Amino acid sequence: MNIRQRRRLLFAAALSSAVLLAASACSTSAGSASSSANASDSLVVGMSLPLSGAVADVAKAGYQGYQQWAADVNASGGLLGKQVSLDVLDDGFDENAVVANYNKLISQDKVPLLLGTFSSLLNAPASAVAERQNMLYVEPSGGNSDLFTRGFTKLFLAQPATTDALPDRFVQYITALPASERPMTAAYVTQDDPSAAPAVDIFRQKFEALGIRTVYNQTYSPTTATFDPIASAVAQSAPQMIIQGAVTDDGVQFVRSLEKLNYNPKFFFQTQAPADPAFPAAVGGSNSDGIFTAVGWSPNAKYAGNADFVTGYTQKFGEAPSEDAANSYTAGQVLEAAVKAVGSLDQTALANWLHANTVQTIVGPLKWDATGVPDGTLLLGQLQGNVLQITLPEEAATTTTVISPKPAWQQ
Amino acid sequence: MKRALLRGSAKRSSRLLALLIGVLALAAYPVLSDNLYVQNMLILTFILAIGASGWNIMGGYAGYISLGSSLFTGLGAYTAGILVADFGVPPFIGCLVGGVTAGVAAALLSLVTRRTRGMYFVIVTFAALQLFGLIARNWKSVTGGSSGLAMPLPMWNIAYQDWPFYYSLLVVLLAAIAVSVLIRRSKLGTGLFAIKDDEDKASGIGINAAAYKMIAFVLGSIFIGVAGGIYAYYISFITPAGMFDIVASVLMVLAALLGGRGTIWGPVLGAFIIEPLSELTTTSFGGPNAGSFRLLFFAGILVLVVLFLPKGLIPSISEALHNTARMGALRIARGSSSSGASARTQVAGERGASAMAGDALKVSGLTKSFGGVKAVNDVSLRVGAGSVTGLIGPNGSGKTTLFNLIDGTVTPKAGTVALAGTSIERASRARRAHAGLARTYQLPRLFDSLSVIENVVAPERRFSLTRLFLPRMSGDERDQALDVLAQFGLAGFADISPSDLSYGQRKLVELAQILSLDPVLVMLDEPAAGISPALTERLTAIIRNLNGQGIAILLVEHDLAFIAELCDNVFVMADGEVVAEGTVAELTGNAVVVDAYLGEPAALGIGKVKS
Repeated sequence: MNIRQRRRLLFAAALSSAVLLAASACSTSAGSASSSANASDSLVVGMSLPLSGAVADVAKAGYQGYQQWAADVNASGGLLGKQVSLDVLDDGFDENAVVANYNKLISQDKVPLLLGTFSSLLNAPASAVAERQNMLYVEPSGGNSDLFTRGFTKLFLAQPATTDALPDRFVQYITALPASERPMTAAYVTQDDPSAAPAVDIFRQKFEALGIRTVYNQTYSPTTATFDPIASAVAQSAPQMIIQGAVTDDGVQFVRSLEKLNYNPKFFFQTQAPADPAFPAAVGGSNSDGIFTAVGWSPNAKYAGNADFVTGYTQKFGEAPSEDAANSYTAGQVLEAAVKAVGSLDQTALANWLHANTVQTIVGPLKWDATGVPDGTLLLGQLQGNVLQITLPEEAATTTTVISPKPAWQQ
Repeated sequence: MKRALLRGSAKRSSRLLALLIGVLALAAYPVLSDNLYVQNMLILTFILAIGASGWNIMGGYAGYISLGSSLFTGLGAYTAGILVADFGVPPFIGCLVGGVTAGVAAALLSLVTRRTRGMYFVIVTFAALQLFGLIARNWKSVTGGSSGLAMPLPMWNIAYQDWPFYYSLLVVLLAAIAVSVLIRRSKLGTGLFAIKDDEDKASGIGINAAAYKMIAFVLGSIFIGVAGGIYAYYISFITPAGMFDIVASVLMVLAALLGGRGTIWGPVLGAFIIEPLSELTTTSFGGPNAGSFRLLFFAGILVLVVLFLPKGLIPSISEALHNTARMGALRIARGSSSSGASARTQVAGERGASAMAGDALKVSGLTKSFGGVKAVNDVSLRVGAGSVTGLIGPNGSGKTTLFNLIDGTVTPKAGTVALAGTSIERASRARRAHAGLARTYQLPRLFDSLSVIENVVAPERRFSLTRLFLPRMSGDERDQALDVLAQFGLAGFADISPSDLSYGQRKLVELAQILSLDPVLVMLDEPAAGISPALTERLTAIIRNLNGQGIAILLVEHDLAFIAELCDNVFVMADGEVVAEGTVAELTGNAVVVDAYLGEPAALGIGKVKS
């Protein structure tokens, strides 16, 4: 066989395997299409989620939250007399893909209802597509306040508050302390992320107004790998309180660096990281004790339906729901309430109803201003015995105990 | 011949018709269908096609691979975003200004990368992309930092769907293609292809490579910048991660490689394959599992392209189509090439005649060391105007290094070089070529991306901006070049690639090429080495003829019979120094020369010298 023949053979082999690949992909798509049935007896709700790519693990919980909501709605008789089915697309955490996907859902699949996606990065362009095409858009995340400055009338955030309200409860807690027990000095460190940095800045302004001196203030890049330099700079400035805008792994890394230096602030608040069920084990022993955080949802909160959601979800998926799962479940609840109250799929009527009414959800009662910003506040949580307890507000609190000051690190 | 021309014009008009139908179909689509999903897909395809076409001007034509194209997307987007958000400028005006910003940034980046080539250019462009991403992230007061910038929603009625985005991008794409075509057909394009093939050689024939590259980079970037602005307005939200995106950069490169790098339609075709395919995998296959399918698809495409279509789709297909036709043409060319061997070349312009008096070249005290080796040590020599001067010496005696010092390839440690009385030792290579200095190489260096005749027309006698945008080859230029080729016996090979020529023919083409510089001095590096006796004879006649027109010649050669026949005066180099000067007859009696060069007098071929 000469070289040319061999190359031709190789080419044929590669081509046929490519064709086979495409064929198998087609057959798979046929399978999944029937599961997300487009039949006339079902009401299709469309959404695009970052199921592959950088935030795939977080998005999986969000997807399961939506599935749990659809199962619950269908168990109670569906919407407008029809069973709900989900038309789910994957955008790979890509802005172009999310725009393409929502365009496809609206103009090609012609879904009658939409639900939102995850992250401000994706919700910003996706909500613009929906708004332009006059579709109601209830988003489970995307709390960046810039999203609500564009005069949209059909955008609603299904969380108790945007990130601007994240500091409220902890500031309330510190303010209520007797002056002698309040911290005198504070250090602020935050990841450069839209869900953390603006909130930490608000913290600083409010605490400075309260007379707490800022001794350290630093923003670090999302790609920061080692936190020892930042931690030792913080320790050098000897703050009595540390506020960290901790989005993911950086929360644990920073705590571990402080443990190494054995630096113990009296008060320690981290924005998102401590809400992760894996956080206490990652920082080790009982070192998570006394760390504060803000959460939009707690599995222990006493709001109607919350306990059922936690049980149902855990049974169905074999794991406890995360806050992302709860957020998408909440988004489903908001959509469901509007459709049931209005009794039609008129998008403008649905949006008008949401602007005028309060919806009871697993994160508490939600109502929105004209821009779609919820007017609630988040919950203040504290890790106690490796369990995240809610300490504020009183009506949602799961404990009356507050650990203060934070116990010293155990080596 | 006439029939071939007719066939060519028929092919051209059918191609034009296809183009027209394509454009009309794209223009009509949004009006005929209200499918916003397809409209969106086409919008994203246009953006990718603009990016790939813009990249192609630098990456395809000039061979400079940039991974930083998203830099211009980002600059266009942020310029438009800031103008719209902070200054209330209408969005589409902001997009045009974004194109200007991108163009200015490309000009600055070309200055920075003036001396970087190959892998280093890739790295610098990648680093620039990261740098600007960091600036956008940290210059919060202007860019909004990681929180991003929100653009206003389009103000037109929803009945018009996304038409303004769609049509503005279609116009930008057509403009980008038109500019690609114009560049390819202009002298700028010839220069860029020459730079891709052999940048040093291009400088040696007077092509100001830095200026060519800057213009190419700027022109490509402007379109990417405008498209970036429109993209930002369309996506409605600008973040550093989304705009200064390395994946988007790589997709532009992939589209150009898939369709055919350096071709006009390749990048466009690549974009029209990649973007819809990406959509297809995202939305039609697998639903929630689409991500995995997309990865498989793109990996598969990449593997297939690299293995089977390394040149891209368009070149591979057209090669397959034209292979048979070209073999026929070659046979015809070979048949006619033996005629016209007369060497009555008339190429020298006014310069050759005017330089008749004084020295054509005067070198004094030229010195260059490589590490501890003094390759050229205090060399002084003169080439009289209108003379043929020889330079001989054993291998490694510094002859080629001396050529490199004279033409500026290598910078001397000390010494001066004057061409026709003008000092040139500080001038760039291109400037020296403009002054009338021309050389050939031991192994001929031609531009294989250009045809033989384009190689001959490629040299540039002076740099002028307006000249760059003239057609590749005017009718006069073609006639003149054909004339020169005919006199060299190469007329039948005018329109084929030099890679199809024999070694000796390539040497002749290189000589024909440098004559286009209207040289004062021609330096020939072993012109007779490795060529047939018949060609050597033809070469001798050509050199005599050039000399007869007043062109001075400096000749390095080992064939002493050849030297003796042509040269009035000969310099001998050994160990980096000039050890003797005189006629061949004088030198053969010089013991120092004989010892340094050959060791025994017989080898000098004394018997032949007087022939």
